[in-house]
Amino acid sequence: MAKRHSRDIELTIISAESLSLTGNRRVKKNPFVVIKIESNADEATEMDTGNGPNPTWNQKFFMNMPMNARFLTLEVRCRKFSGDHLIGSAWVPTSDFDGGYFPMNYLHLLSYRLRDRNGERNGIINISIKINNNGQRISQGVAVGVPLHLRY
Amino acid sequence: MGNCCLGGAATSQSAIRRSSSHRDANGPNDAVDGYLKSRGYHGLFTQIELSLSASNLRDRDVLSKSDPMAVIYTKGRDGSLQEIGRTEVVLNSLNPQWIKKVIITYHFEVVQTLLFHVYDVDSHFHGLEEKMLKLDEQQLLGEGTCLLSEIVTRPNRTLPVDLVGRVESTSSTHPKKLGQLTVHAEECVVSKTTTELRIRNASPKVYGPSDQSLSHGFYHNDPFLVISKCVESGHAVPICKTEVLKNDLDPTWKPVSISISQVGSKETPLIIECFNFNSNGRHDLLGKVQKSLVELEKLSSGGEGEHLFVPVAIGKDHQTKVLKSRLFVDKFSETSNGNPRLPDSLHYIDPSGRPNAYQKAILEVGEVLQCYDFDKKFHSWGFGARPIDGPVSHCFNLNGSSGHSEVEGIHGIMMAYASALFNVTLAGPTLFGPVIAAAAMIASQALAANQKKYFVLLIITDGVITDLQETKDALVNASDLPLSILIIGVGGADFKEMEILDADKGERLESTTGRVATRDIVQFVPFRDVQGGGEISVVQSLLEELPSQFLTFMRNRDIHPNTC
Repeated sequence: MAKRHSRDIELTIISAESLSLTGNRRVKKNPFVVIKIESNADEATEMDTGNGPNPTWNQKFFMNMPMNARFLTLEVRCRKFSGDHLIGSAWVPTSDFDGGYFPMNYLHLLSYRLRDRNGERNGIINISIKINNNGQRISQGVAVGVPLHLRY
Repeated sequence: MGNCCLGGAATSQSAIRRSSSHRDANGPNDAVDGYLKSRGYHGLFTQIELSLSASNLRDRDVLSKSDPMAVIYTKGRDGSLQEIGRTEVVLNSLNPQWIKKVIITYHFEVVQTLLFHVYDVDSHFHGLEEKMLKLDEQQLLGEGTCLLSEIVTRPNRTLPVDLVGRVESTSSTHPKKLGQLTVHAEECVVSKTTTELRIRNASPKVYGPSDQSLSHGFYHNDPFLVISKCVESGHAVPICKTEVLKNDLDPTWKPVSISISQVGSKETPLIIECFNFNSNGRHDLLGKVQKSLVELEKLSSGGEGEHLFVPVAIGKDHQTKVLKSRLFVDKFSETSNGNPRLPDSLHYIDPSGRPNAYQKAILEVGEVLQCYDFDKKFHSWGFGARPIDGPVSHCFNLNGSSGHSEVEGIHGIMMAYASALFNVTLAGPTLFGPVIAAAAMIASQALAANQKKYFVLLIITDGVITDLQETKDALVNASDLPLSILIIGVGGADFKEMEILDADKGERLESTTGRVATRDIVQFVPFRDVQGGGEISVVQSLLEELPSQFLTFMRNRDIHPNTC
């Protein structure tokens, strides 16, 4: 078996639940998710407008992750007139979806606790991840994400 | 009062596809549904239509061939028979195919024994309606028996049953073969329709009981909804419940799925009640409304008035298709259990053969689940005991072998259990983590081999767990796998922590790394209720959530049953 230097992942940001801001204020609208591999900002979802503290995005991204990357970071942010605010973030260790006895194309449905800057819990994010075989894209889906630098 | 408002139902699967005769057949079943629901059987069953045919029947008529008719009975636990339907009489045929279908309610968690009698109806009765025929005046051609779950677990839902003579009439030990009956089961269309509702409360006003809000000084509004169905006796039987939204004045609950088989029909009035969650169990009613699914659908599509509606897609249910399940049985033992040779131990093996609490639990759950496992090979482990030569083990093979943990059938589990009891010394502490990890490993190995299997881990314990966080971690990791975990608590210990693992009461399980369980995979039931011989057996409440846990897994991954 050829040694892989990177893995192609198919990441879907599904939804989040009970998002809140510090002081138990509820998130009203416009949350979006920034996906980072290790700490480099890579992709971002559209803003969700209609679902208040329980946004749904259902956006799929095809990304390439170096083998030595140990985690993904998901940041839920919120767009306001004064700029972007971080609502909460979660770390996704690669061991949760790669390795062990999992077959290559297994669809992992994962949920993570979001925590704000102070480490307070403020919601849950739901994602799905699939590792595709070396370079071959199994799914016929289209990447709908826009690279971050084009949006800002 | 503010408006407790409902957002939309969206459903359009055509339910009435059949002729009026089918509707007639369903008519009485609504009442049966209602009765069953009033006994707490809600949501776990589906209507199955049985079609019968036979081949090589005995010829009992002199001049022509037999005129067979089949009668179907269910056999109760006490051996009592209850007739559930008759087919029509087919004239002059030894290989009849009966047209009339018999509808039976299939319960996943109950062993349902069916008994078939095939009669030759004499020609001078032929003008009569089948229901009027006196069976003792007819000639019995043969009888056969099978389990309903045996039929529905067949890949093509068709099971051949050998007809034999009546037991008392055959003197030899070999019952003579009297032809073969073929039973085919099909799920009724109507029960496959599912409606998904998303409900939100449009009023941001807090309306708790005023005296209470004063006494608390600070009033939290933690609303949740209960949807119930009105049954004939007038009282409401709950069908489903939303999650509790903490301190939420403008709640939008997660969508709930209601299948038509749960409510009876789209016209059945549903009561939607909004409660304020109270940790002491006395939830305050904030308001309620009565609407049928049809009315909800109208509300949602109309979008009129002050209500806000969000229609959500419908789903099709595949309730009865179990791809393949595998039963794991574990047992647990602790020092507090004492010596198994003394009668006060929970592990006491009664020389008269009366099963102890562990054996009872294995037998009852195994009985239901074994039909869904094709090879009837079960992994079984013990934990919380010290093998003769070694330290306390938290995951050892019950059969005493060091390499493989599989045993043959329920009988194999019982044998392994009994022999293990005499080969190990029971010891504490109680750790669940290793056993759950072992089951998760087997489930992921099956995934790697691309096998379509769903696993069930049964843990029988009499102790409170000591590794709560490790167990949580193991459960969170396993929530992504095709695995459900059933826990039975025997004995009188305090099982509060088990309730935490069974996430349907509180929050989702969270691991130390911040990962959250994708879905609820645990069901916990204390066994002590059943020992008094309760009405609804513990096994039923234990297996209650299994079908929906299985479906959540398959639906999330968009796995559909193979059509065959």
